[in-house]
Parts: sequence; structure tokens; C-alpha cells
Amino acid sequence: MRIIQYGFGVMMIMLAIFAAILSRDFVNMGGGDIGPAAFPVGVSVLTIFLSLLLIYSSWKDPALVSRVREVFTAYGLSRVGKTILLLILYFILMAYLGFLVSTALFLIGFLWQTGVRKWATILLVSLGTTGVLYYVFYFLFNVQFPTGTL
Amino acid sequence: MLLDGFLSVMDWQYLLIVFLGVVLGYVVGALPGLTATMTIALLLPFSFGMTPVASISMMCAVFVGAMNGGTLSACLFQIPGTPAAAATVLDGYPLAQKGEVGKAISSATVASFVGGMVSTIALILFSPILAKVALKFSAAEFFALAVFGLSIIASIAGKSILKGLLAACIGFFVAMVGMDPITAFPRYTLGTTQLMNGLAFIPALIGLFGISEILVYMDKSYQVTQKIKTDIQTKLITWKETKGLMGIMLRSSVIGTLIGAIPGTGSDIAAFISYNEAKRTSKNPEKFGTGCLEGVVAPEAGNNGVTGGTMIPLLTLGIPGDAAAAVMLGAFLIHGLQPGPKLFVENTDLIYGLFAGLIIANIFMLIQGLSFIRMYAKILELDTKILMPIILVLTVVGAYSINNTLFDVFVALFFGIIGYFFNKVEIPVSPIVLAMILGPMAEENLRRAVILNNGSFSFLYDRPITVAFLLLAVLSVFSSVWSKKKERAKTIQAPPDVPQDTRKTS
Repeated sequence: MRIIQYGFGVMMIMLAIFAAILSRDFVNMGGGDIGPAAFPVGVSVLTIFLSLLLIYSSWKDPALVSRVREVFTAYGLSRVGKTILLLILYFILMAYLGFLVSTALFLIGFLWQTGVRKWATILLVSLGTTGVLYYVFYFLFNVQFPTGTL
Repeated sequence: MLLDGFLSVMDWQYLLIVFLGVVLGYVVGALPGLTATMTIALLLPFSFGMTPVASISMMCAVFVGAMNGGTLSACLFQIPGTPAAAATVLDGYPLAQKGEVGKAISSATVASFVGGMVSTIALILFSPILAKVALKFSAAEFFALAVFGLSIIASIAGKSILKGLLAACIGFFVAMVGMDPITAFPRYTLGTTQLMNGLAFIPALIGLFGISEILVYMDKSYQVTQKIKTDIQTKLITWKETKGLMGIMLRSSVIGTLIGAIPGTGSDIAAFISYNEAKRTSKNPEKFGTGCLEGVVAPEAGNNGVTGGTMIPLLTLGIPGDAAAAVMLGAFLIHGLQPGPKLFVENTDLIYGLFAGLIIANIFMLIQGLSFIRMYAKILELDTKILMPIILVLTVVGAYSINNTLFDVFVALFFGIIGYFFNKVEIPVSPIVLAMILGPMAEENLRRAVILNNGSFSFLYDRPITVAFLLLAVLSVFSSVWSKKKERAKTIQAPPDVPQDTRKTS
């Protein structure tokens, strides 16, 4: 856990530096205003201070003994990774195949991945969910779903 | 006025929405792993098709139902469905083990009803008064109020205040993307027009509380095969027993309401304090923990007391007291409404309709809680393998429907991944949301106050209300640091034995 906290602290410092550098281009229109850069710079300074404090306290904390592999298991990460990949694929497919087809395909893939093997259940859940959501959002709430380019 | 509120909501569609909200909340609360905050976030897109009163009442109904629903798994399996039900486990589970499951759950439902009604009455009585005072606030006071609101991050930060504050910094940075609130200068837009209006708030919420929960679920594979068989007896609490417990229920309801009205506290704290208070003042404190009814009704009245209490700072000051209230604020924003004192002047119909909605939600909660106990126990047999993909698609549709753009769907996924990693490394996500709401409020009012004072910061020390809020903020942070230190010392001495689902926010 200690290494994770070091990493988080370092990432936050980098984010703060990046934000502070970009804020140099923010123009103050005057008129007594402190300007659009004041708050970003203030938050950046606070972030750097807190991150350094986190790194220091992590270094001093004897209770942080858990290892990275105890927090993130290979099995868990692989399942999460597959879910994220499936989602990204789903979003990309939505642009090409439209909402109806891509959602049904995504649900079939997802249910299969979680271990559902009964095709009747898979088809009922995927087609039923897609249909109900499409009806509610398209017909009742007038949401214009992507129809696909293909 | 309240009568007008009732009249405005007395149609079958509205009543159905509130009823369904309560039922949905109960189901979500009963299922460990699903949170009321997540459900409220998922319901935000449905707000489009409803009136503001109906959509906000539905979310309140979910909140009310979830507070009560957590009792079910607490009594049956010693697993609190929500953190608020953790105290109920102490006596609810032993009572159920004695074969009095029906009595345990029905007494909890009656206590939840009393708690909800007392807190709603307090909301109706006190929020207009507080709003009247807040109407006199200027930019300086609103800045101080936002700082006070931000100070509660220290208390909702979980184990580490430092991590909570850093999460809040992320929220500040996210909120700064887009045009600045005073001069409309584009900040951190990276030259794209899509970011000119900033990162959309609702997709971020859906990602943080919806997608992240599903990713966490996918990570914890042991839950995938979980299936539970339930069978309960339905012997309910008697009228005589209810009368005997009324004193404890009313006292716990007042405790819950007061705690709920303080930003940064929460229903779990209210439940434990109510339980301790009931035990401390009991003639038979030794009975607590063995399955006594007093030990069930006290925490339940306390945690449902929070439902109305938490609406007081949200409606009158625009400060969400916890994560669920922060998400509820999203429903106001969808309808172009900004919670705060002006709401009591410009949208009285909405306010009194909402009050009426809360009363109706509590009545529905009582009726359905007592009528469908046996049926609700079957909820726990639901196969989460089937439920999770449906929820996931709902998050995608929800994020898309805000602006009808796939960009927002990617925003939701981005925040979902952040939420997952933060959950794994014990960084709370609620501060991100709170900072996204209160950060712009603090910046805008600070800059406005400085402009009105001709570039001077004197308002920070020469306006009494501003000074009072800033002092309260400092006090709030220090008290949180102190109580965290005390808590940590206690944990090292004796680890807690009540099982809790740490993923829940409310």
C-alpha cells in the first residue's frame, strides 16, 4: 500500500504542476478581479503540499504493510480489464452499428464473461433489456440514440 | 402552503413514481453491494421525463426506502445492506435467530416511519426560517458557506483525511475545466469545443457511483456465485409493543434529524449514537445485544431521521450534507434549479410539493414494508450476475442521454475507472463530487466579493457571519482530525466485530 500512496502523491504533484503551468496563460481582465488563474494556482499549491504530506506520512506509517498484489489481484484486474475493454468496444460499435445491435451484443458478451451459460437466459436478458431501455428512453424521453453508420 | 403542496402532487402518476421509488430504494438497500447513492445517480436521466417535483421526490423516496431496506439483510444474515443498518445488526440479528424475524423487520419499519416523519416535520418547520436568514447573505457569506461545506470533506474522507483532501483537489481541477465563472475565460479546454462547457457533472456522477461499483463487483469474484435462500416468519410487532417503544423511537428520531442536519455526518453515525443513547438510558441495558426490540428501533428511527435532516442544508443553503444529497443536487441542476435560499422564494410550489412527497414516501414505506415482508426476503435471492450487466447498460444510457453524445459516455467510463482504483486504494470518491459542486461556488463568490470590495479581502474578517462560517469550517476540520485520531487509537486496541460492506456510501 505504501508504494501505491507514493505513486498517488507523485501523480497528484504532476497534475498540480501541469495545471499551474497551463494557468500562466489565463488572462486577468482587471477591474478588481483576482483573475481566472488565482484559484487554479491556489489549488495547485494546496495539492502539492498535501501530496508531499501524504508521501511523508506514508513513509512514516508502520501500518502500511499490505503489498500491491494483495490490493490488486491478477484475477480481479483481468476481469475488470475485460469489462473495460468490452465497454470501449461497445461504445465504438455503437457509433457503427447503432444502439440496438451494439447493446444486445454487449450484454451477450458481458453475461458470457460473468459465467452465464444458459442461452435462453442470455437472450432473454440481452434482448429484453435492450428493448425496454430503447422503448423508455427513445419513445418516452425522446433520447436520440445513435443509429449507426453501417 | 403544505396543503397546496399535497394538492399539487395528488395524481396517480406522481403517487406511482413515489411508490416505485420507495420499492426500488428498499430493494437496493436490501442488497449488499448496491447503494442508494448509485441508484439515485442512475435515476438522474429519468428526471428529463418528469416534473421537478416528481423527479426529486422519487429520489427522496429511494433514499427513504434504502434506509429501511438495509435492515432486511442485517436481520437475516448479519450483513448490513447499508452502513446505516450496521447498528441494527447488533439486536436485529439475535432477534431473528430467536425466530422473531417478522417482529425484527416490522419493528424496524415502524421505527423508520417514525424517524422519517419526525425529520420531515423538522424540515417543514425549520428550513423556511433558515432560508429566510440565508436570503440576506451576500457573496462573502456564500464564499464562507462554501468553505464550511468543503470542510466536511474531512469528516467524510474515510480512514485518511489527507487522501480525502487530495480527492477534493481532483474535484476542484475537474470543476475548473471550461469557461471561468466570472469572465468566461476558457480554462483547461485543451483547445476543444467539447470542453468549453466543462466536464458534464451527471456523467461524472454516474461513473463515480455507478460504473465504479460494477467494476469493484467484477473484481470481487467471490460474490459472483453468491446465492442465498431465504424463508422468514411474518409475526409482526403488536400495537402494544409499538406504544411501549414510542419514547425511544421519538428520541432517536430527534437525534437522527439533528445529526442529519449537520453536513458531513451521516445515517450510520446517527444510528450508532441513537443505539448508544437508548442503551445508556435503558433500565435494562444488559438486554442490548441479545435481541431486544429497543436495540432494533433506536438505530432505525435514528437513521431514517437523517432523511429529512440532510435535506435542510441542501435546500436552504445549497450544501449537500453527504454523497446521496450531492447526487440529489444533480436532479435540481437537470431542471435548471439551484438549491439555496432563493428556492424558497422563487419555487415555493416545488418546495412544498417536495415536503408532501417526503411525507407520502414515508407512508408508502410503512405500508409496503409491513405488507410485503415475505416477498422482500426473496429479493436477496436475486442473481447479481444478471443484475450487474443491466445496471451497466443503464449507466451507459444514462450518461448518453444527458446531451445525446458519446463523449459523455467516455467521461462516465473515465470517472468509473477512477472510482474503481480509488476504491481499491481506499481513497473516498465523495470529496470529488463535493468539490465539483462547492469549488465553483467558492471561487465565484470569492471573486465577486473581492470585486465588490474593490480588490480588498477585508470581508474575510469584518463580516460577522462570514467569520462565523470560516471559524466553523476550521472547527469542523480540527474536530474531524481529532476524532479520526481517537478512532484509530480505538481500532488498534479492539478491531470491530460487526461485518460491514465498506463499499457503500449510503
